[in-house]
Parts: sequence; C-alpha cells; structure tokens
Amino acid sequence: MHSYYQLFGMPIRLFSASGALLAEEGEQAEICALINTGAAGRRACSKLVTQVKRTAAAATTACSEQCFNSAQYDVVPLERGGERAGRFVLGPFRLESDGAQNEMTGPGGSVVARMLEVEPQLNRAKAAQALALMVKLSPQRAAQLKAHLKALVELVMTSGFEALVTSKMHLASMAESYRQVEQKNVELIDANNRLQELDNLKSSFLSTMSHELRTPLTSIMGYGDMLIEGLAGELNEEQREFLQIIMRQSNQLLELIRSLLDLSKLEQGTVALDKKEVLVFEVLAEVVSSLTPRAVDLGVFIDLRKAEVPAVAGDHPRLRQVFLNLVENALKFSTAGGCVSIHAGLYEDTGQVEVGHILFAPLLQQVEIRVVDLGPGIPKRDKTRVFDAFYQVDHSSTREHGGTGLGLSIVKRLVDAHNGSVHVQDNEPNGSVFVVRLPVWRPPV
Amino acid sequence: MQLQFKPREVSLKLVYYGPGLSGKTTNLSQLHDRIQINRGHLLTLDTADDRTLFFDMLPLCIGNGDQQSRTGFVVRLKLYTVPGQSIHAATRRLVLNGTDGVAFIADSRSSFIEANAQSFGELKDNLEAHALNLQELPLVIQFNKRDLPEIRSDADLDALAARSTEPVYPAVASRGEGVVETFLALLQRTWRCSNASKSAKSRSSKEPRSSSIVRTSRIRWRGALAQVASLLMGACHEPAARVAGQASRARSDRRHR
Repeated sequence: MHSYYQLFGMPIRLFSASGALLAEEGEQAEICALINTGAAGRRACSKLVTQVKRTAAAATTACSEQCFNSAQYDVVPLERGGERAGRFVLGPFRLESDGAQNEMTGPGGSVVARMLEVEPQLNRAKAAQALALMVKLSPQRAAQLKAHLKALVELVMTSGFEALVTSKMHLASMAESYRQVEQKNVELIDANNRLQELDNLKSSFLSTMSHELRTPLTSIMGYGDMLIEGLAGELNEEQREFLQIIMRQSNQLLELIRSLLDLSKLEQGTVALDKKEVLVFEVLAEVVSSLTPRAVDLGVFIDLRKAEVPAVAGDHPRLRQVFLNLVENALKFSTAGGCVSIHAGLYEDTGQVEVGHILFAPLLQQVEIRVVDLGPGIPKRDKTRVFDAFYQVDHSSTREHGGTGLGLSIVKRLVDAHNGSVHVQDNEPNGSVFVVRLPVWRPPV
Repeated sequence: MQLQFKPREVSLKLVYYGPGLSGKTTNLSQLHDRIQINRGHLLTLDTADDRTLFFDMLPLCIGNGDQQSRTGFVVRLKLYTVPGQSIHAATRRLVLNGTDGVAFIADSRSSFIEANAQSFGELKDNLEAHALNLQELPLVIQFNKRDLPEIRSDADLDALAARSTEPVYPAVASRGEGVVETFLALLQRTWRCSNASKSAKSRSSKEPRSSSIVRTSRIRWRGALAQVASLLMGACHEPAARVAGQASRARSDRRHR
C-alpha cells in the first residue's frame, strides 16, 4: 500500500468486513486541508465522509462518491471464497476529463465556484492552486489500478487465510494427539499393572495344576507299568487284569488333566495362535486318516467329500484338534453300520445388511465345515449347553460313551480364538450336525 | 447444515473419507477442474509423495446474487478431504466435526479390502465421537481405481451394491470418471436428509416461519442442483451410455427413497 501511495500519490484505506480500519496510507490533500479551515467547509467535508462510509458499508459492487471539490472516493469491496471480506477506499483523487480542465478548476472555474458556495471564506487563487495539485487519473487508469489492487489484496487475504486455517488445524490436531497419548498412557499403565497381577496368578495356577496332578499320576503309571511287566514278581491273571484297568483309567485321567490345562489356557486367552493360510481339506484328510482305524473298529464309515474352498486363516495343529474332537465325538455317538460325513463349503451371510456392507462383505466370507452324524441327536434345550465345560447331554450315557465333557468346550474356545463360530443343528430324521465357520484367509498387505 | 437467515445462506460441509492413497484429493481436484465458476481456491498442500498432510478444502457456491434476491438461499458447499495415513487419526476426527455428508472413497484393489474396512470402522467411531451415526448421515461409497489390475470384480460389487443401503459408484478419479456422479449423489442425499431433519424439527417445535423458509429453500435447491449438474455434466468426458446408466441408477435410488 505504501508503494501504491508512493507511485500514484493516492491515499488508500483498507477496512475489514465489520468496518474496522485495518490500514491507512496517505496524507491529507492540500485542498482538503484548505476546506477544513472554515467551519462550513469542515461540516460539508464530514458530511461527505459519513456519506462515503455509509455507501461503503452497503456496497456489494465497486462504487464511487463525488465530493463537491470534484474529487472522488472509490469504494471497492473485497471477496474471499465468494463471501464479502472487507473493502478498500481509494481517494480523494480527480478523474481527468478531456479538455475544459482549466475552465473547471482555474480561478474562475465551476468547481472553484461550487466550493465557494459551500465555504464562502475560501481564497479563490489558493483553492485553484491546491486543486491543481490533486492527483489526477484517467478513468481507464483508475479502473486498472482498482482491479490490480483488488486482485493483489484478495490474493494476500487468501494466502493469509490458508496459512491461518492450516496452522489452526495443526494446533488443534497436535493438542488432540497429545491428549489422546496422555490418556492412552494412563490406560496402559493401569492395564499393565492388572495384566502383571493376572499373569502371576495364572502362572502359579498352571504350574500347580501340571505339577501337583501330573507328578503323582506319572509315578502311578510308571509303577503300574513295572508291575505289569513282572518286575516285582509273577502276576496272576486277575492281578494283571486289575492292573490294566488301573492303567487305562490313569491314561484317561492324564488325558483329562491335559484337556483341563488346554481349556484353562484357552479361557485365559494365553493360547498363541500362529495364524497362517490353511487348506481345510488337508486338515480334514489328516483327521480322517488318523481316526479311520477306530472307525473301522466301530463299523462306522467316514465320508469326506472333497470340495474347492478358499483357504482359511488358522493355526494348523489347533484346527486339527478342533476337527479331531468333532469327528471323534461323532464316531462316539454313531452305531455300527452308521456313517459320519464331513463336507466343506463357502458360507456367506445373507441376513441383515448394515451400512457399508459392501466394504466388509469380503471379510465376512467364511468357510463352513459340517460334521454330520446319525447318532441320537441333541435335544433343543441342550444345543448351546453342549459347549459348556463338563456338560454331558445324557449323564447315564457318560459311562457308555466315556469322555470328559471337555472336548466340545475346547472346540468352541479354539474356534472363537480363530474368530469363527460353531453351533449344532439337527440332522433329520436323527443325528446332529456340528457347523464350524472359519474366516477366509486374506494375505496381509 | 448451517442456515443463516440474514444473508440467506445454507452452508453444507461434505467430507471425503477413505484409506490412505485411495484418491480423495484427486476427486476434489477433478471437481475443482470441472467447475469453472463460483468455485473457491482449492486449498491443498502438494507433497512429494502425494500424501495429504492436514486436509484439502474446496469451497463452492451455488446460485448467484440475482437468483438469490428473488427466491431462496445461496447454497455454499465446503468439500473437505482427510489425510488417509493412520498417524493422522486426530486430524481426521477434527475434520469430521459438523459434517453433513460423507463420500467414502475406497480402493478397488483386493489387497485393500482390509484397509477399506478398517478406515470405515474408524469413520464410524469418529462420527460417534461427534454424536453422528451412519444410519442417519448421508453416505456415498465410491470404488476408485477401477482401471488397475487385481481389483474386486464388477459382478461382485454390483451384487453387493444391489443389497446395500447406500449408493455405490465405480470410478477412475485420475481420469475423472465417476467423480461427478459420486459428488452429485452425495449432494442430493445430503440435501434431502438436511431438509427432512429440518422440517421434522420445525414441525415438532411448531415454527411455521422456519418451515416456510426451508420450503422456499427447497424450491431454490432444485434449481441449484440442476445448475451444478449441468455445469458438471457438460464438463464430463465419460461415454454417454455410462453417464446415462448412472443417472438412471440415481433416479431409481430416488424413487426407492
């Protein structure tokens, strides 16, 4: 603005949208000083200034206001992003009209005459002289000047606004980040303390469990073995039979302890799953081949149907444990001449569609494995309870079928740890279907 | 939405959300290129690796002085993008403050399925922090980068889109395809939604004055939407059939609503 004043000698005032004066450059013109010496002149001048201010406040387009001394004030509104952001006022200056210059402003000219009407005490010669000193611009030049200044100021405003918004945003996001980090820190310290306590408890429980239960059992089984082998002298038939019962039951007890340990680990979520790309069919084939001898003994046929399904995200040994338990269970409740069939397929939920479903749908794709038996089936009220630890549908059949009542609860927990699901359906007319759903494997990005 | 009665203005804030490098800024700059009048400066920081640092902002204005004085409101739109990188979570949350509609720009590549879902989950959480939810907030999903290999198939997307509650648009933002459709759909839904909620409010609080103003602005809006649509469609380089297809889809969507 200073350079503008230097170049064109024209006073400039810059106002904000609310009308506050932001910057001012230029001195009072000589003619204005002259007019302001008299009381009438001063009154007329301030009236004009008020008029300019009023026009300026209401102006939406560039406009100008003429003074009685032929000088004019140009008001140019400023915009930013289509909104009014303020204005600048140029002037006073005089427009050069072609010819008749001296006639207008000379000592006898009409402008001077008009000024004398307003302020009779004005010195005619001095006024003419001062008037001649005032900045003169051609209308074309004035328009160029205004356009250029408007563009310049608007550019400065826009870049200033951008810088302001960016720094405000930066400040706010930094403050927010800091607050979040602080909060997280407090939460983490709390969580860490709690975890340490839990960890200690869990470790002591597990070690007690494995040590206190397994150590005596190992001794029992070891000495039993020695007795059977005749290391403590010859055994008669009855003694040998009793010892074999002891050994069988001890094995079952060991199995129970192992399952309990598994379960407690699973319940505490301390089982670390090594999730990889697992082909379900391979797991099922392994399970079937390891259970075939028992199936043959029972006279039950295992039917594994091959199907093209995507790989799942899982821990191979853990998934084997899941299906081993399920197929074992199915075999246990099958009668001779029965059949256990296993099939895998792709499952997609076709139920309620949520907002953004299209983004999640591929992640919701699951591989469904159905283990179908022709056994006695599971009553409706027991369908969810079969997954509870130690729960047996028919307590009287416990002895007949054996088992600890932990197999299915381990299945449930392992499948849950895989972010999958397991439930039981009826197999009409008799038998039940265990349905396991596991998420499809997605390669990490 | 902000209604300012004195200058008769309606301000709408629309946010382009999505995972990193999915094309949010590209969408905005394509819109900026196509709209030649009444647009503001596209506020964006160019970074060497095409990463948005804070956010981009594009102010647009629908309706000029003449029309405004005769009837309803001038509609002022502010389009924002968020920085996609995970470290800018706080900025994303701030940008969503007071938003009227969200365009979710997803990367079509199969390897980005998780990134998309994660970003969408975060969007949900962030909106909840501002007491907004996606059941009520207008949402449009765009699957960008349809020209790249190893993307989710059209058949897959079409089947899912047919079941979705929100409109889904395919796009190649770098070539400008689908950008306009996404924007118009978002604009339309946002306006419809703002109108519905405003009229509901005015009914409940029995303020006839407010509802009459909203009615006026609704009439005005039709003109404004047509204006911006013609502006953008005129500049659209897409094959006519595709545009027609999208338009009919938008129409059926409207009927459905």
